[in-house]
Amino acid sequence: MGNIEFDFKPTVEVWDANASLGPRHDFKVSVDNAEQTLEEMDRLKIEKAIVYSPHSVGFDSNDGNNYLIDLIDSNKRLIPQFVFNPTWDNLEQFQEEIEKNQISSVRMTPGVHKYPFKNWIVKPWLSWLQESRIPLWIPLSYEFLGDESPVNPSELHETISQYPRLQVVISDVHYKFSWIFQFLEDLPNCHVEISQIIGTGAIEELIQRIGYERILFGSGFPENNIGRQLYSVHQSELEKNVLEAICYKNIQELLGYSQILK
Amino acid sequence: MSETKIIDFHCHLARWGRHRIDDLIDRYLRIMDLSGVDLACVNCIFFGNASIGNDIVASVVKETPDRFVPVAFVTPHYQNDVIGELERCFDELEAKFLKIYPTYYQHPVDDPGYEKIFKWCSDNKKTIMSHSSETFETNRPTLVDRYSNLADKFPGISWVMAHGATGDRRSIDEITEAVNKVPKLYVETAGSLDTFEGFETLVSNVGAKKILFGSDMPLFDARNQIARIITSKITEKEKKQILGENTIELLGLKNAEK
Repeated sequence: MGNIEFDFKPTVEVWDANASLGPRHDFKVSVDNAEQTLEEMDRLKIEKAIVYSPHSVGFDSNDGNNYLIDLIDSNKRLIPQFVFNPTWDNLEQFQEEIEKNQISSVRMTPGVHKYPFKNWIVKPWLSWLQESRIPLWIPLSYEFLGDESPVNPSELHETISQYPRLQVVISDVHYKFSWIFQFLEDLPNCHVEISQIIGTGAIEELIQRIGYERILFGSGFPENNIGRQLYSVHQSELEKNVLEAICYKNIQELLGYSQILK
Repeated sequence: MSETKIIDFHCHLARWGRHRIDDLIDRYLRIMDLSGVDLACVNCIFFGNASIGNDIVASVVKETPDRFVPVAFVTPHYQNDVIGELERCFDELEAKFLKIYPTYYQHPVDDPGYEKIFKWCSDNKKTIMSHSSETFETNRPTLVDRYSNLADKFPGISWVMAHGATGDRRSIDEITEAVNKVPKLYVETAGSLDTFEGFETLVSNVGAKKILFGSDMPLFDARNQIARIITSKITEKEKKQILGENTIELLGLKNAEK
């Protein structure tokens, strides 16, 4: 039999850069609370996970973000990520919530919330995030009842390029988005979360083309399994420092944890 | 069983630029090595003229026969050619099963256009892998009805539903019903998405013996795809059945047993 680890465990510390916490209204996820999430994290030796609320994406960011804080219940292994909708939310109120809850990253979902990713919509928000050094996650293929609009890569590129100090994480990159390689090469302030980067040799190609410093391990849990991409990066003959960077050091750096932990 | 080879049931050959698929066989073999795959069942479905693709398969298998298993492809677009090509693939090129691709035909797997192909495969007791449903279908029959009808009409065929074993929440109930009711119906594991614990639920529902590991390589990386089985919460015995034993038994790959 081939070289198989039937009882796979990661060999380095792992932080999951793309997970959600809480029930969805459009289907029942197998795991929708902190206790079960931590149980699966323990099984695969995941130290921490950045979690957002599906309710924030599907219905209301304010309600969902507050619900997320309740669900996390101060557990330090679950790092809350707040969602906002620039066409609906109040920026000042959101800023207060970010400060009050010590939120280290945020997420926009233009595909689900259906707005053009153009400056006339997002400028006040992106300007604030850039000045505040708060990294922004943008998923490309979040599913929501099949009603989401495709994210326009040209709008994304044009707008992000106007905020060169804003740190952006492109997440949920469906394998059909083959433009992601040129996109990342052209925008050095963009990072990529790899839960859906599953083409043959695609992780190695990413490392070759943009370096390993902007690549973040993420799972898409609980809609996806944590183990799939984690196993895959462990079977890629990466140098230990590269594996560590992808699995936890890059996200620590991005969220400012590397300074706190020193 | 620990001596049994790991076999990837679902692999493609040839280039497809839109999806960044190349034809570098050395890289193919390297990914197989890193993922632990001993044997890859390879087809080529990218050519309107099926014989061109089958020749590519034959050429790659000839170069590396200890790592690749040939799989035939025919298209009902060319009704007059299909029997001759099936005979060439199975008799001369030693294909072990047939892959069909209804997506390209724009008709589902139970369309009458496939009857000539299926009759030959039934008479010769062949295995066929195919998508079980298509996005272009409206008012399609349930999978249990679809495959029960196919099994009644073509009793010699063993059927493999490509992408049927991801554990996707949207299809697991229908797939469970079909696999449990149709005796020679199997499901294959390749897919871009899954649902947490969906795979374990499917194994529990239909049993590991009906599930075959496949990656859809090189569209998907075999390391990512094999992890669906490796990191799942099923027994080691079930993992070994899915990863190799079942395919060896289904295809009669006696030489794959070490």
